[in-house]
Amino acid sequence: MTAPGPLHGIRVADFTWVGAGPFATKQLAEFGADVIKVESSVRTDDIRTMRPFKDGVAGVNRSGYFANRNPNKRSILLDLRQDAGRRLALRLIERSDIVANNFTSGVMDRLGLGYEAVRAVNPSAIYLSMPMVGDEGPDRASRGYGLMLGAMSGFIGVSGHADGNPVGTGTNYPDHVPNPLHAAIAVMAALRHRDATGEGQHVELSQLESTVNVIGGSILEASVTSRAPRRQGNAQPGAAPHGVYPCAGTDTWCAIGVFTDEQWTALCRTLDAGELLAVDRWRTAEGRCADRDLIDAELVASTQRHEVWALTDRLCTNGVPAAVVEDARDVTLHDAQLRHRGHWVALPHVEMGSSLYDASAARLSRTPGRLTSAAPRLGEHTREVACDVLGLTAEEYEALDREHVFR
Amino acid sequence: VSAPLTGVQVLEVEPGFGVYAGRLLASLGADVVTLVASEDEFPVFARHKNATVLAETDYTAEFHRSGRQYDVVGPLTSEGGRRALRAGLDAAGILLTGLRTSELRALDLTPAALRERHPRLVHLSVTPYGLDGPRAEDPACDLTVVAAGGLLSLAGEPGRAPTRPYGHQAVVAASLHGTFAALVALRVAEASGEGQLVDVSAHDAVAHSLENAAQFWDLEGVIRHRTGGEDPEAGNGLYACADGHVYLMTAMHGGLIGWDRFVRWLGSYDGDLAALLLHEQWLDMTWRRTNEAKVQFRQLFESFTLPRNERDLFVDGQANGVAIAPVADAMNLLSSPQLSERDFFRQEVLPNGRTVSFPGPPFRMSRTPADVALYPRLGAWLEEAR
Repeated sequence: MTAPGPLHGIRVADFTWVGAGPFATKQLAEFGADVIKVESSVRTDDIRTMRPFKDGVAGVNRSGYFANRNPNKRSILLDLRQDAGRRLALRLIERSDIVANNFTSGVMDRLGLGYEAVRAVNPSAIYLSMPMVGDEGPDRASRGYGLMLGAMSGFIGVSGHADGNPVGTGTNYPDHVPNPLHAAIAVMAALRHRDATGEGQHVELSQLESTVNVIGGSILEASVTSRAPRRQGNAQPGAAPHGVYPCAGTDTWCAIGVFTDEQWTALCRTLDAGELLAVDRWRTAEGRCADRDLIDAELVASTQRHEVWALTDRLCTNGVPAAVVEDARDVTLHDAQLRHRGHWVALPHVEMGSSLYDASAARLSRTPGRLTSAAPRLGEHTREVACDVLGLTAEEYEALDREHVFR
Repeated sequence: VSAPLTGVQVLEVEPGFGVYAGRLLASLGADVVTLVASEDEFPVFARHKNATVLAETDYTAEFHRSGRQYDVVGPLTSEGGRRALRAGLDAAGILLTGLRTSELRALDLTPAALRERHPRLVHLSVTPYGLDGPRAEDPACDLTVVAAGGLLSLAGEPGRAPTRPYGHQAVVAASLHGTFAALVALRVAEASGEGQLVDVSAHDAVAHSLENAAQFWDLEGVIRHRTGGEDPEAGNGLYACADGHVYLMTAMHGGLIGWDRFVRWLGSYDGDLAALLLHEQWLDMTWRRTNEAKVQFRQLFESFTLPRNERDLFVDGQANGVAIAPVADAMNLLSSPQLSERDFFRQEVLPNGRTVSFPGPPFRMSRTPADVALYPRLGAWLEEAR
């Protein structure tokens, strides 16, 4: 039998949905917290109905998009528009350590589940809210998704080729990295305070402010230069060459970063490009940075002759930072390092069969996180949670069920 | 009122991909001290009186390196360096390193050595590929890790080289996963007296950020590619307006989002326009992904947006329940009414007398407020430990 995770004994009343919120509570679930996802079959979590689906067949229990955000969790259906549903939600909150939501600011208050209501029944609860731009300010009622936060925060505008379109990451990145993880970090810090004092608190994660933090350098630069930074493609201040270069084959690319004179020499030798080494002014970083575009053009001619995996192996062996631009097939099937770390975990599911989940990027030597169960089917644990956690008798459960409280 | 990590001492040695973790821990009230060999390793603004005019300044790196104390101890392999390291380890609750296994060995900081001498210590190691495995010792930088982790393949314009997201996002992702996990380990250590190694791979952290690309391949056999500059589907993308662009989301990954509200909103201004969007083809998600649909939608919607400005479209659209946002840059943010009312930005005077602005903390805590300076508070714990 495996040991319980380090957050064993911590219960989360999880009202989050879509992207950023569920990824935050996934962190807690992976390390052993009992995360109870409160769902509705009337207004299902949007991403339960988003691709990809197992075998391409749509269904609320078949989405891989939903699944990877929700392993190790239990799902209870509650109709929060009914008084009985709200009362049960408050009972769950009473019996929880953490209460999480990522609704538009004001939604939980309107449901009678805002921080003051929660504090009244459970003053030691840590209440995580993740409004789009914060609970105050002229834009507080804003709603949105990760891609919009990418636009509002300046992230999309500053990512892309200098002469091209703003492109960002091509994903709802704020939902996957800054916002869930800043939130989970703040919750852990609040838990430390609660462990010491018994006091709960409200952790407010403005998704805009959180996203601006991960491009904090752009604000610093604008403040210093009185000008917003421009898109720079793959350039890196102080380093050249630094870019993504085509290799043999179709749409096959190698990323290379040269930070020292030794790496420059090693790069030229690995590419058999002695003519580049012969250019005097490129022997220093200053000279190379001044001629970035020229060097890139020279390198493209050279890298295209090489097979990408062999080239990156040789470059790394010779001390040059390099990597294949891997796609989803590469990272899941061919990447020996991710395999070695046990990054991809296949979990069995009644409707989806076995499918892939991302394990935590952190390996703890003594109390590791573990993915043990696939994402719950919609309402899969309703009866179990209602009876075992909320303390309903079988008769009480049946009576409420007849009134459609569990839907 | 004190910050949540008050009393936690963090010793940082060449944090590498964990550099943003040091700033986050400091923002939560931990006392973070970074050992450096000489003043040359100070953040650039502290080092140069005229640093603001340097051409090749990496502002992201400077932002990540800020917020903690720097302590000049000479090379870590020198007698002075070793002494500082020993004293720091005796007093620290968390050791943060970005060193590979071979480099940890050279400084006698291997997991076994730390476990024996500092059993309560949480060692947060944040490296490009983790401490073991076939690539553990490979040279790497932010760009190569964003490539190896799969994110770069999704970013950029088709037909051109994939493009790196701004802001050292492999460093950010690794630091975020690392900070969270270190706080889990700290909670265990404070309860049980048992420390441990937290081994974070930036490569894993990036692979963790691929949205649903791995699942698209796993479940449907589809490989997602970069689509930058193209709308993924009609009604999801950047649209021009009178003074810039707005981002509109009425659809995502084959699902509609608030389409009815969107059509009602347009209809409140232009019934004919709304009538065109009520045609049932707009409910066909396969059709919405066609070029024909994207072009038609753009023409229709931009006929509405082009005479209007960004802020009005945002405020009015949001008031009508539509997911629409302005496309901002850093200068817009510095003057944003929303961020200004929330006092989000911090100001500080640099050694050269210039006042700069930078983001306040990413979270707000009602009982234990977080905050962090650009330039260091004077943490004295290491001095006392000596």
